Amino acid sequence: MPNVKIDGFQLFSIIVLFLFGTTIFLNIGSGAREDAWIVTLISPVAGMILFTIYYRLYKYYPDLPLTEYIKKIMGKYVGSIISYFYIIYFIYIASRVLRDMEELLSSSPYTRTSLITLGISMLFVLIYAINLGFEVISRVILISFFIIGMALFIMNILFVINGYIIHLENIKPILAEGWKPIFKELPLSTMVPYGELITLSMILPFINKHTKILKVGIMAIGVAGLYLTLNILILISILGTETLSSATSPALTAVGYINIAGFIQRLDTFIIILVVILGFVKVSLFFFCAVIGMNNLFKIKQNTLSTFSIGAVIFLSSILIAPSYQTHIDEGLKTVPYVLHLPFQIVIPILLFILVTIKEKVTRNTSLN
Amino acid sequence: MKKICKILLIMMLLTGCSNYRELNELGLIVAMGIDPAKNMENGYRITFQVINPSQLSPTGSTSGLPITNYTVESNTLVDAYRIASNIIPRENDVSHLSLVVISESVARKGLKLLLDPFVRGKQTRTTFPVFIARGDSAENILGVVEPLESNPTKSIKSTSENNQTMYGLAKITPIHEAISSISSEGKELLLTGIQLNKELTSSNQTDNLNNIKPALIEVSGLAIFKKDKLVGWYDGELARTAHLILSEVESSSFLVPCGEGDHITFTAKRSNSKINTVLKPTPTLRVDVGLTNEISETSCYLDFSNAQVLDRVEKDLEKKIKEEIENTIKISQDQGTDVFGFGNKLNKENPNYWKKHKKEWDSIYSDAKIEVHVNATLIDSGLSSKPYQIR
Repeated sequence: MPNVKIDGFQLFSIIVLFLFGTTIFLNIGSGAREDAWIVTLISPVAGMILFTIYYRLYKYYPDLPLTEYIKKIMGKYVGSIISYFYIIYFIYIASRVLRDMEELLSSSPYTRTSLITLGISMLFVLIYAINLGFEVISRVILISFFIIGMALFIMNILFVINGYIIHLENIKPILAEGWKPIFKELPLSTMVPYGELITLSMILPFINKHTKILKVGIMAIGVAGLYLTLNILILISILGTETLSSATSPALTAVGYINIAGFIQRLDTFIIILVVILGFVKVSLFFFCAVIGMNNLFKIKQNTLSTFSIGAVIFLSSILIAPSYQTHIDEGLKTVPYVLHLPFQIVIPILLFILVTIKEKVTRNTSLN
Repeated sequence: MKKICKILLIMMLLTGCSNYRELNELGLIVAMGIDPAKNMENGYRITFQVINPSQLSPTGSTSGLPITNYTVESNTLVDAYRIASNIIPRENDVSHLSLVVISESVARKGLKLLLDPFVRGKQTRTTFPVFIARGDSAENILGVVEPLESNPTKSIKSTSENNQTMYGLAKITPIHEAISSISSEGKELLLTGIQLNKELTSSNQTDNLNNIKPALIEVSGLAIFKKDKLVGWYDGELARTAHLILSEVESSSFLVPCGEGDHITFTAKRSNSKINTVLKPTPTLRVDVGLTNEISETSCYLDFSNAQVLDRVEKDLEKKIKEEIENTIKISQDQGTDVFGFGNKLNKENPNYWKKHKKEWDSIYSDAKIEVHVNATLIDSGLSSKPYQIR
């Protein structure tokens, strides 16, 4: 396959930023009220299990992306159809993330700008990046990793300096309703963002062969999970559970509370930096997966036209996908996880894994005989 | 073709200033007053205080006031904000809104969801404070320019800020805190009241500015809310004590009687209090207060170099504060409104009990016993140990 090479630390930063993605801004897990942080603490474990499955599949076919080895496992026709659906899935999720990004941007600084303008300007950058190839994207992500790290660090320091807005007692009572609401929230917060790592199974062939992918992946998931837990703890203690579950973008609301000596305030800029960079990382990965998936499936060489056409589809569907932000979020929380995430992230990979294990055993037995 | 494409792409980069607005084209609203409507049956009478930037600039100030008040009536706030463009000559903008004053009569009727637009709006911030115009309309209060500050918004904010650090009667409550008090279980809202210390003698503001005893904005009491309705007031010392219970007093002065009409004055340097709800054997509201004081004034002859005397006055102070706190809590019990968040605290400590009893919490609260522990420490008696002798 391709001769692009990505090293361990780049992979680490890709996974961490990809997981931060839009989850940092949304109130995922807030259905468990005060215990939302327990949800975000447990879900990485489920995420690690999923990642291990994706990794084992990759181990069987270290040179092929997901859409190719599906054909090897399931047969040419069934496999092609499933790969085709995977490509559509990637395009759809890319447009969902793009929409998230457009809405967050238009909700704070660009109140008079239309979604279309925001979407087009984001997409030009994305198409440009995808055309330059994955090596470039991953280098950009590596740089962004440090920018994001600094921005988040400064933001959290400001929250702490602005001491009186953090009310740690908001986290209590712990487990007031027992474990039930936590288990109810767990599947959703596993699928978004950890299940979305299915994109990695398209990208892993690009990684240096001597990288310890499993170790790096598990570490990155752990780090991201811990940070998301810290993030939700801060949000609960600043906003309280009532506001947290009713705010459309809690991080934006929480940052709005910062007011140090009447001087350091209106720090929405931080959120904007985060939205643009994290959104870019997430969309570019889904976008890239769709492009290489399509090029492989239809046996076309990498070309500008396919990138442009998929980009156009992503942009158009990001606008057409939902009439308003609320419906968009509602779809994302109630329909998409069960109709799309569940089969594409969990059911099909596990099925593939079982099939490939049986196949491997059978061939080994026949070869022994 | 390629060149045209490139030029078009570069043109996209130049759209940065497409919706720029200069300061002299904006009508920045700095304060909003909310009163009941006069010409309508329901609805509100909203006063927008718009700043005039050219009056505030250090060089070009000419005669005239730096602010103008515009009043409109409507059923909702955002509608009023839009209608206000009937009379405001510049594009009105709420992004620099820094104060909301709600009149007592609106608060007595119930705030309902009055504060909703402030959290929903994309332009507004939620860090600015809310005050209650006590026994007056917000329109009047926003219509007084004091000599020391350039505009009413600034004087309301700085008076209450000053009081918060010097005495502890007022507190600047950001709007997001007010909303979270209204919406959280087992905690009711307290808001600082403001009023004018006397009627304006003439509507001409320069008269007020030239008066040596001008009409001023004063902080006065603490409004007690039950759910969203104003039900009563804490006045003077009681308001200060309420903040003491909530651990929000930075420094203050306490008087302890020491003879016929004589007092020792303590200045509290630090205060720290905890509230707790003890359930067994009977529901008890427990307050622990820690205070660090120094003696700043005495009008009776006491020798403060004597440790026993210090001990005695310390005990007296503790007793005094204890009584004050008990009175303060009792008032809120009579109103049946848990303004100090005892219920909220109980919910955090004992969620099972709270779930069962939250419906009848108001009556449990009203009947609960009060237990107050005050630990006042005297660290200092100032620069003299004994007062001077009168011979």
